[in-house]
Amino acid sequence: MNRIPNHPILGEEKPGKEVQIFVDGRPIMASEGEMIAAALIANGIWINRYTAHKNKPRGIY
Amino acid sequence: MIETELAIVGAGPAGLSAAIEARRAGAEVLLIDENSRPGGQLFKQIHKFFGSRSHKAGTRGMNIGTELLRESKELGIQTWLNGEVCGIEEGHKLWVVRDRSRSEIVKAKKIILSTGATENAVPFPGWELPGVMGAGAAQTMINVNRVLPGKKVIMLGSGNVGVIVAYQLLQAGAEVVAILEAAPKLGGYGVHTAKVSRAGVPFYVSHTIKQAFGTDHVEAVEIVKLDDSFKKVPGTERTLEVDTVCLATGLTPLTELAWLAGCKFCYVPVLGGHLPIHDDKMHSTQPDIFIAGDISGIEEASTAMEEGKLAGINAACELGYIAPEEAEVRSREIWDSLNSLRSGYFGQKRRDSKVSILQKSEELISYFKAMII
Ligand SMILES: Cc1cc2nc3c(=O)[nH]c(=O)nc-3n(C[C@H](O)[C@H](O)[C@H](O)COP(=O)(O)OP(=O)(O)OC[C@H]3O[C@@H](n4cnc5c(N)ncnc54)[C@H](O)[C@@H]3O)c2cc1C
Repeated sequence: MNRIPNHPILGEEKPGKEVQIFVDGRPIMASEGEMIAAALIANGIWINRYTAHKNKPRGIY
Repeated sequence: MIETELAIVGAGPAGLSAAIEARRAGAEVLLIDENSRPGGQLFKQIHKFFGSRSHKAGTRGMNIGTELLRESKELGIQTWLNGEVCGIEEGHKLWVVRDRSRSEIVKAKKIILSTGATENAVPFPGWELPGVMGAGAAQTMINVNRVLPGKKVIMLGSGNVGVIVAYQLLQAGAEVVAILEAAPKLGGYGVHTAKVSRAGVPFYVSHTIKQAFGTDHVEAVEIVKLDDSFKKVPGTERTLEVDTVCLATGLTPLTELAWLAGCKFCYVPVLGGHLPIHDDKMHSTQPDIFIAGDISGIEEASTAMEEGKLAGINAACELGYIAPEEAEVRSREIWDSLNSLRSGYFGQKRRDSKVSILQKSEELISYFKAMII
């Protein structure tokens, strides 16, 4: 998991309601209402798509 | 179609400050922002701001944001969130896409564009790999979404954005392998640079990234030394293992709506490139259209707030809510404050550039007046 539960300035993050979402058929846990990109990265999913011509991976930028 | 007296695009520090001034004067205001939360860049800025004390220096950006939101709530400013302004049509009509699902047209007597800026990217082989991202994107992930975008990060660019985000990555638990700077000197304010340096992060001046390696994700970067004319010095390449590359290579004003509206532009590299020409009331060259904040030149939240106030006061004045004499007195006070913000080594350059924009505006006005006569 790549979440930051404790932070020296922002303090502790109260965990929101957990929800299950499916990414390409695979279930992952996300926090209700959070950005999808954040949920993906929190679960180690970096590749959002492959390019049409060269089939290269692309992520957030 | 919805009608309003004043529509403000962008609810960052500039837009919020403009809305507060105009609403306080009595104008009917509609504030529109594409995000689900107002505040623009402020809520990412968890560090204490620099500048003088009267300009909220020493206060964390996010707390300034909370304060602005409280004021705008108290005044009951109508705010559309998740509203993307996609066009400006003739007759001051804004095309807004709300909740990514439906279009709405807003007809406004006056418009303030306070859309902020966008990050610059630097292309090098491998720059499209997952793991290469803007420093601002990484900052949003760690400070807003509380998600760490990488564990071993290299930062390209040593300006304030680069060093502040590097420090915030450390706070969030990442390792910052190095900060690279293409110029022979570091770009950021000494306070920030010193903090990162004390934390043990190495700086490499006269260096850039030659390429990034990896199949599905960044795995390493090759860095290279640059000579005095910014040419890569062969044989100085070195490979560093990283999983994330952050680009802090400047910002460009988000000016599309101003172009669409037909505003005249000038090119001012110190302030980020092409900017709408504006006068000392933040009036663009188009009637009824004002600009404020990073769209009128990349500066700081503190200057963005002052420019927002100027735009808000003068738009309210044109709408008849503030007497011209009063608007002038208050504008002058704000200019005093802006001038003190734009001082020092970096500030003076911005101040000189701003003066050149105001002169261009005056030249244009007299040119058009001469044509009419
Ligand atoms: C890492 C970092 C550190 C910084 N540190 C400091 C500091 O210490 N002190 C300081 O004073 N400043 C600092 N700044 C700068 C400051 O954050 C910016 O100058 C300031 O936020 C600019 O305000 P703005 O209102 O012009 O734009 P923004 O804050 O960018 O707000 C613009 C808003 O408009 C929205 N928008 C844009 N286009 C549209 C559209 N078409 N439709 C709807 N909404 C739209 C955007 O989504 C955004 O919410 C820092 C910036 C960064 C990145």
